[in-house]
Amino acid sequence: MNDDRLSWLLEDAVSEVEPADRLPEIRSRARPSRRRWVYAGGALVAAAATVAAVAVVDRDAPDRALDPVVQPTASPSPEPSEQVEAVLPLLYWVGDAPRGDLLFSERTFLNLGYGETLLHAAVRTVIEGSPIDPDYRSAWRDVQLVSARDTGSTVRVTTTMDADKIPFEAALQVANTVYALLGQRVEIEFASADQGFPTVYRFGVLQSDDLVVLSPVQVEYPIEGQEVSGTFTASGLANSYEATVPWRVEDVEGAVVLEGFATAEGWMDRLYPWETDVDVSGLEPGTYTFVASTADPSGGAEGAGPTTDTRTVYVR
Amino acid sequence: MITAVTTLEGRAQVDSWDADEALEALYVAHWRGLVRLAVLLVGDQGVAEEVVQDAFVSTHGRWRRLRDQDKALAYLRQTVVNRSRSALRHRAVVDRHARSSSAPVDLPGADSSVVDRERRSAVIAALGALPDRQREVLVLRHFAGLSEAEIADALGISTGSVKTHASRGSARLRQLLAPYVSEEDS
Repeated sequence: MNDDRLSWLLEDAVSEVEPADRLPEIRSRARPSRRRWVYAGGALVAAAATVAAVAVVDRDAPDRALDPVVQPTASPSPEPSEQVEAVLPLLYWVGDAPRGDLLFSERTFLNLGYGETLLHAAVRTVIEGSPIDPDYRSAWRDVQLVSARDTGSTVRVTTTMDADKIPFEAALQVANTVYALLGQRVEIEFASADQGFPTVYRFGVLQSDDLVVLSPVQVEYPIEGQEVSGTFTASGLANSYEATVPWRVEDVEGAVVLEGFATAEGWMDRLYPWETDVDVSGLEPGTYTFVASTADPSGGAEGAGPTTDTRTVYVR
Repeated sequence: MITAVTTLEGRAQVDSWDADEALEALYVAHWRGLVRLAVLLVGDQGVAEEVVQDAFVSTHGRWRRLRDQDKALAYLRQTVVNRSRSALRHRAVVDRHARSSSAPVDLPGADSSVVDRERRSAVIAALGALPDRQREVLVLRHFAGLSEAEIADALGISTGSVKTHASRGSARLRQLLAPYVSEEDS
């Protein structure tokens, strides 16, 4: 087949595709400025060190009756009637990767309303909030969480959105956040609070598909905007060639000022934990970026190139 | 007199106005073409429209870094290709979870003849049978008219890889579309 014939066949195949006009929708989605997380900045940075221990307990003890381990924090506008508690669960967001959009996770400092379960607060933040790391985004837009209940065999999530219209990434964010919180995979049932949308969307991801939907490299610590000094420990999960996780620290100009690599506990079939010490004692105080990446054995010649996950850190 | 004062706030407003203007100009010029490109990549018009819509929103958010129509179009195209790949992968994940088979190829064209519709469905199905990279390279080359260097840029691979995927892909398409290849004057 010559090239002209091939071009003709491709052009012809879609010659009658007349897409709907979506400019109004694109405009309304593009214009609103990003909502900022209320704890981005000083409060989060100050809280990070005290809550770190909570996160470790949280991860190693996947107990379904998980009680939030609470660290009191200064609320910007304390309301005596509403007791605010803060915890640091792992929430999932969408980020760019060479392979396309993938899920990244972030330890997020979140507020628990009085009587609110950790499950409800985590799902609420994923659906109504936004990530701290500016590299991530939420696939949920203008949707409110009505309830999130753990029935034992399923987690039922009721929102203001027609369950049939929930985007795949949006469902993935909730599912992975719930899996991380409960320490096990349960079916997620999305329902709509509006009686006009009676559909229920049953959703789940098999563990074997984690490598398809999750970023192959994830930084758990440091968290975005963390203050570091001396030697700090960076950690996360990765599935990277020969278990090698190259990392580097870049200054604000993007120049590499430190680099090294961590070795994960394994690779190939799932994401494995990695951990490394980073000595920043020789760096001038200021803003830096910690970058962890997957190893690229071909040096960029083949495949989509390495995937990275980054965190802004402040060196004191 | 007052207009001579440039505040940070004022500058931010001008920037966002630029992004809105740019978005609309890009939409008018490329919306239909990019949706068609995405249909060739994902085989479904509804999914294609979602993918391209998301790409436009994302381009608007990056306007400060792109700042020029050519770069913005390259970014749009790259985003459409990446998100199309995600959409296909995600559909596969949902299908595996639901243990159901994938949806049939959905193509419009009520006005066209049966022969036309069969040929068009065959082309979409044949593209769907190719590995991701081969499909992307062929569509960018023969539908979008990109050069090998531009394709290499868009996909983040070497021009050598582009050549390899192009030749393997077109050999496979030739097999899959054998009945339609010789109809030079259809």
